Amino acid sequence: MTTLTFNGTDRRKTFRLGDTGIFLALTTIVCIPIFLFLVFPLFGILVRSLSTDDGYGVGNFTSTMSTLRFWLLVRNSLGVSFTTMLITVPLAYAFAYALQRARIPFKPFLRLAVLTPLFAPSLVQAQGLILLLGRNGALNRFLGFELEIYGFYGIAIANALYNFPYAFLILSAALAIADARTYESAEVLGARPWRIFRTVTIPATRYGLVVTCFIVFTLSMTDFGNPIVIGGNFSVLATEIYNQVIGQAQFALGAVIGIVLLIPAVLGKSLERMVSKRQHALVTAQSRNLQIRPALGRDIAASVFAYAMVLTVLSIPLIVLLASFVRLWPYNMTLTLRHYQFDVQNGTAPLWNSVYISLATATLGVLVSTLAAIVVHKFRNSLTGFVSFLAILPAAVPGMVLGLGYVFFFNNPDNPLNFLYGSFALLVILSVYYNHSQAFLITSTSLKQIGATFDEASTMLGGSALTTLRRVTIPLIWPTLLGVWVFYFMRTMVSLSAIIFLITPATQVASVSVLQLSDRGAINQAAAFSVCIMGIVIGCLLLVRGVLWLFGAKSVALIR
Amino acid sequence: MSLVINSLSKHFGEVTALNNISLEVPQGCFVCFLGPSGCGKTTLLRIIAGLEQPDNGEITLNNKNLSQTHASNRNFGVVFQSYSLFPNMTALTNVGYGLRCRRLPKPDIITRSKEMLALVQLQDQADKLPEQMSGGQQQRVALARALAPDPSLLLLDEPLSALDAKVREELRHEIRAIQQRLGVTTIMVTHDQEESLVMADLIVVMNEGKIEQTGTPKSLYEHPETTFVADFIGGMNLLPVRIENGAAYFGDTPVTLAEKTATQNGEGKIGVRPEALTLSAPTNDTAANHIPCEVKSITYLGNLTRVFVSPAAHPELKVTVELHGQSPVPSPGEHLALSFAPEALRLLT
Repeated sequence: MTTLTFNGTDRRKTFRLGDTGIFLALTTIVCIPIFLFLVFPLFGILVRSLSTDDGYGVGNFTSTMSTLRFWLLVRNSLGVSFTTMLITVPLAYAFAYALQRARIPFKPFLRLAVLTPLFAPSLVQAQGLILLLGRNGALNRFLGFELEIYGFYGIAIANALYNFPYAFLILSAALAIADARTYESAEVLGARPWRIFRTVTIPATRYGLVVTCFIVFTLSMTDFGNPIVIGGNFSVLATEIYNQVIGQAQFALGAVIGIVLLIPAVLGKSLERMVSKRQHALVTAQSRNLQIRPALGRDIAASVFAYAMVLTVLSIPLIVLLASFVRLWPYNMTLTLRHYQFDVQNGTAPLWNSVYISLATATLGVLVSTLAAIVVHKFRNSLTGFVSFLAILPAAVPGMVLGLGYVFFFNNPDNPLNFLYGSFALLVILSVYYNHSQAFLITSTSLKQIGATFDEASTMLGGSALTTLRRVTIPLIWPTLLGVWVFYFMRTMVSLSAIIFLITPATQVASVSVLQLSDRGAINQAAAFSVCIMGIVIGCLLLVRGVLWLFGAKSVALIR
Repeated sequence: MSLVINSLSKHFGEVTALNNISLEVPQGCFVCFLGPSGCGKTTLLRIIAGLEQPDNGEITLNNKNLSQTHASNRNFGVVFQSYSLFPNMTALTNVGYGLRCRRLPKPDIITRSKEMLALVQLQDQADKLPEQMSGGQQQRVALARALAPDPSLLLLDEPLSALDAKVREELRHEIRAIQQRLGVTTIMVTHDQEESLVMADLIVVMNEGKIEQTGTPKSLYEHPETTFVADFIGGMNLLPVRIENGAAYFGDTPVTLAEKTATQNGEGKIGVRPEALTLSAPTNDTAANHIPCEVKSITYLGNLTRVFVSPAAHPELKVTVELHGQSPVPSPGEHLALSFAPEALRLLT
């Protein structure tokens, strides 16, 4: 029989920083950088927009808003965004519906293929469209069409293609949740498929639909890459900021438009959050999952539509890929690798810069956003709500606006942090805080799923909050953290609008190179750069997917 | 050497979870907090553990006030309903967790963890992860983990309610045996009266944030003081009676009690266990402890037969009679008399 007396001595230090002390320390570590790198730069824009030659006032606003051009830009932006929304949302809904509610061959391929726009900077959509439908595009050149793609419709179509995966991801999630019982009841009551769709499917996904509309609208309002490439003489608010600030050094004007762009973004985000809060409780513990039964007509129609949609989405990266391999699109179509020599500008330096910045951003971003999520979820107290608000604040800030804020705040010689201006470090920090809210939310969800009992079990066994984190929480959520890392890496690789104001010749990045090469008409080299960006992103995704697979963590979503 | 709870209260918003609870748990005792869900028993356990803070009142252990001691420094072991083994650790590492938190030397941790696994008869499962073990095994590991740092108090929060019936029965006896072997003071929360009768030295029956009655299983079963306790433990027939000049009447039938009858006139209730009732041929209305009744329905349960009858004086009542062995079983509609011994009756508040 074993002896049950136990002579071990507790060797914990008698003085330990209490959990309250740890909380205060961590809160400070989380909040100070958010103020420095998010709140103050945003204030910077506000201050700049309000400072006139004779002190502070609304002079810049009144003078901007009294011009006809401003209202023309507002009309253009609203018109393009509204059109994009009208194209994207129904198509994405139909595509998500086809994938979730019909039997289609090779669904995983379709699902992945439709997400490819996320692997490239937004301007690649415009780039591909020009190669396809532009003056020297495939259709005009080889099939004898006479399409004019530059301008309103070019932007709307490019935006629609770029926003499609975002819309699809939300709508797909909304359609994935279905309570089989309501469908069975409708069927038993004699409802025909169309009526069931109108009375059961649509109402059950209406929140998802509303949220998607907000997101697509806001993305289009604030997107910069597509309109700058394909807009031609058609200007929108986002391109106007760039032209005013970079082209004409009209900083006050840029600041005013930045504030104006912030309005739809903040409104959209607030409405989205209001709506999502009501989304829950549609599915209860008693719900059963919907089984998709075969229906030949529906399945054929859904398959045809889904494959046509995927073909459309894929046509962009494919034509960019093709253009990167031909000598001179579209005049000399012989295949060549010469565009991959990158003998223009800084050679491959911008590409490597992008990779380094993305690696640094991903690593720092995981640390920063995880720390914020831990402070909010593991150390609940009266400051929690405020910290949580700060953590999700970036979701409502368009990349261009934040980038502009950085210019105003860090380019100020009186700012002690002025030394950061023009450095890689500032690009990394900007990317970390620009994507902070999503990373924070992903980690938060994961932390919430772990539940409180492990924390309590650890506490009762004598573990401090930090011991629990180190030994239990982090080991449990590492796959999610790796997912956040990939998310940061991907977003930073393809980011354009946020960093465009901050890059210098020494800190040139790949996405800006694509823009400048397109601008100069070097479309083949631009295409090669885009292909490299996509290749690196896809390679990183495959690598991390492989690592997760090796460790048996297969259910982590990497593409968001 | 005991845990003393003094005037403890706890509110969640408008809801009173605990209302002025005072209690003493003697050293080495196995105490059950028994009550329906929402009675405050889990809240009381969590306050003792230090996972919740009381609004008022204090807890002392061996005369030391615990209010300033953080949960992680109380050296209490807890077993949760949901096992809550760390999914990223093996059985052995789970058991050693508390010892690692106390920074014990590594060899000691391994020796002690193995001993504790042997104590719950899982020495051969040391390298299994929680997901590779059955619910019963996981809960055994959780028990070993809670006991490994030699806690001064063991707290069990409905430890068996997630398990299926057979495993639950086994573990009841095992937990009780281990507790007695180690002599560790233990508090268990449960809503299962059978569980508490089998395992506890002392049962604290709780209802709506208050303690209804505290006592040994036998004393609670045989001498319930309130209708709640009478009904909650073992099931009891409650008969409304009228008290007149020190005598009790059910309808017109005089009822004789072995205990002292309340002297105050008015309404009261007497409780009588189903197995203490017998059915006999009807007699005249006024014979003491003989209540005329009609048989309503019969449920045959193998080792016993339950007969449900309605007394003629209170036809709305359904009184349960349990007949064992070879007793003759009546038929529905028969008119009989319920009879009972004065010793079997309890006057309840």
